[in-house]
Amino acid sequence: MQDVRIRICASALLCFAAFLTLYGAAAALLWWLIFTPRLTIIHRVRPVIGMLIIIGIISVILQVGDRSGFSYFIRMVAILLIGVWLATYYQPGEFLNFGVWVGGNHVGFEFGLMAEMAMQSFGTLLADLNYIRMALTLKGIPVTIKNIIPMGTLLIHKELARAKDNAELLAVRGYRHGGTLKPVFIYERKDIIAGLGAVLVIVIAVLPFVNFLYFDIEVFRGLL
Amino acid sequence: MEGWIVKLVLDHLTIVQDNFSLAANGEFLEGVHLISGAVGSGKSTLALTIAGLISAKSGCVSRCGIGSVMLSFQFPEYQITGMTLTEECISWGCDPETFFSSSELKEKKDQSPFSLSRGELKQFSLSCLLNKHYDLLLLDEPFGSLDCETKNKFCQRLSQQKKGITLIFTHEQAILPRVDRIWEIMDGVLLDRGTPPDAIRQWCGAPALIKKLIRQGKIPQNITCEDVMEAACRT
Repeated sequence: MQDVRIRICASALLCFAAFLTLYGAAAALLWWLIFTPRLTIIHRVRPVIGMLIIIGIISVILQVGDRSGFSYFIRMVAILLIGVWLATYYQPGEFLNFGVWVGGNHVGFEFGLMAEMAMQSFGTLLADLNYIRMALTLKGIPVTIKNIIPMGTLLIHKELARAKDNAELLAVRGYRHGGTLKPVFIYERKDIIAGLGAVLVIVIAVLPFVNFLYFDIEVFRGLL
Repeated sequence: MEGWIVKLVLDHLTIVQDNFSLAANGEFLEGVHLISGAVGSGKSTLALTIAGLISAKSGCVSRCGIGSVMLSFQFPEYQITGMTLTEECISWGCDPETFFSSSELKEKKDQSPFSLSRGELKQFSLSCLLNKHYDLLLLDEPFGSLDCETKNKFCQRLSQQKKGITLIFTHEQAILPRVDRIWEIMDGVLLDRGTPPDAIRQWCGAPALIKKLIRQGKIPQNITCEDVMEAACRT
C-alpha cells in the first residue's frame, strides 16, 4: 500500500475494530490476510514471533482464569499484526507528510516531526539491542533479569543522548516551530479497495453494538 | 601447549549486506595482524563475521586451536553490561582490586560507566580486554577516541603480544603498533600484503608519511612511530 494516509487511517480503524468486538478483531485479521504480504512481514520483523508467544501465554492464563483468553488472543494478535504492518511499510518522511496533511504546517508539522523522530529512534533501538546481545554473547553473560537492568540503562542512556543531539541540531539550525512542506501522496486502486475494506471491518465491528443498542431501546420502550 | 598450532582460516568467505559485499580468503597465524581499509570498506563487518556474530553468505571461518575469542567494538558503550565500573571490570573477567590498584580510574570505580567520556570508556574497556589472554583477539578501531599518549601506550602493549592471534581493524594513520602481517581491504576484497618490511611497499593505504618515505627509497622495518622515524632519519 503506497498511500500513507490510507495506511494510517486503515490501521486506526482496524485496531479500533479489534478493540471494540471479537467480530471486529476477526474481520481485522481477515483484512490483514487479504491485503498485506502476511508471512513476509513476520519474517522481516522477527521479534513479532516472540511477542506472539508472550500473547499466547497470557491468553492461556486468562482462559484458565475467567475464560477471556480466546477473545484477548484474537484482539491482541490483530492489533499487533496491523501495527507491525504499518511500521514495516513506513518510509522516512511519510509521517511528516501525513502530519502536515492532517494538521497543517504548524501543529501538523510538529506532530509529524515527532513521529518521524520516534520512528528513527525505533530503528536505532533495534540496532542497539543487537549490539547488546552481541556484547553479552562475547562476554559469556546469560540474559537474566539481573543482566537486563544494565541493558535497559544503556538503551535509555543512548536514546536520551540522541534526543539531546537532535534537539541541539534543530536549535542550531534555527528551528522554532512548524515548517513549510507540501506533501505529495501516491496511491493505487488497490489502496482504495483496501481502505474501503477497513471501513467494512469497522462496520462489522460496530453492527453487534448497533443491534445491542437497538435491542436496549426496544426493551426500554416496552418498559414505558 | 607446545607445538599446538593456533590458526584462523577464512575460506573463500563472502559477506553480503544491503548494498555492500566483501570477499575474504586467507590464513592468520599467531601474531599481530593489521587489517586496514578506508571508512566503510567493511572492517567492522569482517570483524563481526570472524567473531561469529553475523553469518557469511558463503565460505567459512575455521578456527584451529582457538578456544577463547574476544571482540572489542568500535563504540565501547555497546559493550557495557555492568552498572558500575567494578561490575564492568568483573564482566571482562578481571579482578577489580588488581585492576583498579594500577588504574587512573580507581576514584570512579563505584560510578556508572556512563559517567566516563567515550575516550575514557574506550581506554577502560581496552585495559580490561588486554588484561586477559584470548586465543583470538579482534580489535575494531581500537585507537578511536583516544589521545596520542594513550594510543602510544596501547600500541606498545599490543606490540608485545606474542601469544594468540590479534587482529587490529583500523584506518588509523599516525600511531600504529608493531605488526607481523599487513592486510588491506580494497574494492570489497581482503588482500594479504605480507610481512613487513616488504608488505609496507605493497600497502596502498599506507599513511602519507610512510608513502613519502617509500618514494625516497627508505622502507621502515615496521609501522611503529619509532620505525618510521628511524627510516626518516636514514641518510
